[in-house]
Amino acid sequence: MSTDPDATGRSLATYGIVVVAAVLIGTVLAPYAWGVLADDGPSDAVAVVDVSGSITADYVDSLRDTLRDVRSNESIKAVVLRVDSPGGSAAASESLYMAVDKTAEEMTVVATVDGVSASGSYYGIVPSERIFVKPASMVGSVGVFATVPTTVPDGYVRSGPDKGTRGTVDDVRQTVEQLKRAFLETVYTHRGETISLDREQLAHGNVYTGTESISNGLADEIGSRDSAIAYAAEQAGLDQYAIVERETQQTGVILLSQSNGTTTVRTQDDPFGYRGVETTNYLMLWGHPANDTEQEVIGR
Amino acid sequence: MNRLGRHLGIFVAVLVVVLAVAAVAPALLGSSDGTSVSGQSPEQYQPSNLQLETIEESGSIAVERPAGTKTVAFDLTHRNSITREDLTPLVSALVDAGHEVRFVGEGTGARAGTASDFERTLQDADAYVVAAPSTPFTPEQVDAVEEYADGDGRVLVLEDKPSTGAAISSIAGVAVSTTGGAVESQADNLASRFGVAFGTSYLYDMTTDKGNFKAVTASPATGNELLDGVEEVVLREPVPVRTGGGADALVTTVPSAALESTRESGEYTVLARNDNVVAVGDVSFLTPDSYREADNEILVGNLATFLVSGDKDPDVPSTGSSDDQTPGERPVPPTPDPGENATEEPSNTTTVQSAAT
Repeated sequence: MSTDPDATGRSLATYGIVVVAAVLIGTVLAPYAWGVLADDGPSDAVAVVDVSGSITADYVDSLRDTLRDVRSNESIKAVVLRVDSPGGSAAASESLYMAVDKTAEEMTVVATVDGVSASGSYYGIVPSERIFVKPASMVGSVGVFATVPTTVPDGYVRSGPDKGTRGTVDDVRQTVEQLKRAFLETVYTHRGETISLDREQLAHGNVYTGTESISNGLADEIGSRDSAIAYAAEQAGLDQYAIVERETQQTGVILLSQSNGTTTVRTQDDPFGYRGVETTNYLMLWGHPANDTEQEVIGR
Repeated sequence: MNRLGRHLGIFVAVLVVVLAVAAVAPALLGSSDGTSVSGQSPEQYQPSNLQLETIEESGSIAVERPAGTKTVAFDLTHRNSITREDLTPLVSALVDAGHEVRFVGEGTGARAGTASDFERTLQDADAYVVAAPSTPFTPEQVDAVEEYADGDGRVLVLEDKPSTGAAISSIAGVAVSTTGGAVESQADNLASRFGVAFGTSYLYDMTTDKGNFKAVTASPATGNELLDGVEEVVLREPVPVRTGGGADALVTTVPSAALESTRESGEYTVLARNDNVVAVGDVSFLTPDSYREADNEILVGNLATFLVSGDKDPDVPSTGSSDDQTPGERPVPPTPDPGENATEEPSNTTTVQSAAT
């Protein structure tokens, strides 16, 4: 058999054109094909979620959505909660706890305390597998207090003596005690094996430095944020991973002015209550609410 | 045309297949728009795990009815950190038992009155009650109360928890109010004359099952008529009562009570007696909110009976040199007509008397 060199050459040229065309088209379509099977970065990620400022209902709503997104993202294998909060509303703190607890059921959750994790914010991070602190971190303040409005103004016609109020002082005391018990039991449910303080000691509501909190079992280890990320990744079995920052918008602080390196911010009148309605507030807070306060922040 | 028709047919067929796959694929693969959530109901949140024991509230205050009507003066001239409402259960019990109650200094507040006013008030009363004073007693007033107690006048000194707010101090005899500081009690300056001193920090109990750590349980430490029928009282934020001299500690807290300032636990005295003078480191137990808790109402009744059981010498205390009269030379107060509050008394005095007497 003999072959026609010209025909062979044309055939090879045709193949070449087809291959080149395939490569060109493939190059164009490759990113789409890549995107079908993989995210932008490494296939696995550790999400870093901020828990900062006052724990209010609006804030926890956003935080809960953030954690839900994290749970539904198959590439995220672990979460690090970066915490700096003195707590806030009791109900919002319980919601935060349940959102974090839900997340901890599905993936590794680790917390790192930048400044303060007190009262309601500690409540929120207590399901974490490990809590990292720094020596100057402040942790604890397990407890509740109620702010009771003044008596109902004259001129109100009410259907019952307790309408519009929380009843007697005893009623408020009972509620405070119930919320405190739920808080305490939650702490011992998650950290009962590590906490050396008994219930009476913890119920005093004190805060502890990072160093003290490791001694008494409220926290686990001195470390930086990267320590927490590395630990979370290790627990999730990740060698290479992306770090995904998830910020949650804090509400209740309104920027009023900024000039000459000085920023004046004004907090909303009642971040833990309902605008225009004076009710009994139950707070899991280290400190006291500073309503309608102006503060000057230098250097921002 | 046939070739064009074939190309068009193939184009339409491929387009239909692509669209069909696009339409069916989400159903086969599952939509990413929806979500499925599951709720949470933590075990430690269940109501059965958060049940609290409530403090039993029952009973009423019983006061003995001695043969004669006695007069009990409530001192409100020392910027006392109480209200008449706080004293309502005790006042009502006294009035219901046929006794007379006078509020002295009500509505004036800013001054303690002159020494002679004070002594005259004591002279006209069979018992003297002062609660949570925040302006000091003058040495003359303390002397008068001592003379009064020595003359079988009954004295009840009640102290309250330290509070914040307007701090009162006395400069050259003038009461000065400043805001933002702690209100410093001045009961010690009277009580110490009788071997009693009050603590400046409140007591609490973290082991309490009474609903709040400020509810402190106390019980009799020894037998005394003041404690007949009393097994357990509940005090909220009491201050300790220190005893010396002739004062006896009658009621002490449970051992788990701790002092707020030191966190030291122990059995703290909260009620002491030195003959005709009784000192209690609490006011809450006789307020409308608390007087029916535990055996508080029995203790309040016993204290009321104590107040009206004396046999005070009508001439004590002497009204002092400012009147320039001896007790025997003083004009005799007019006898009040029944039903009228005609008793001579300082202008800043209110009398409460039972309509039945």
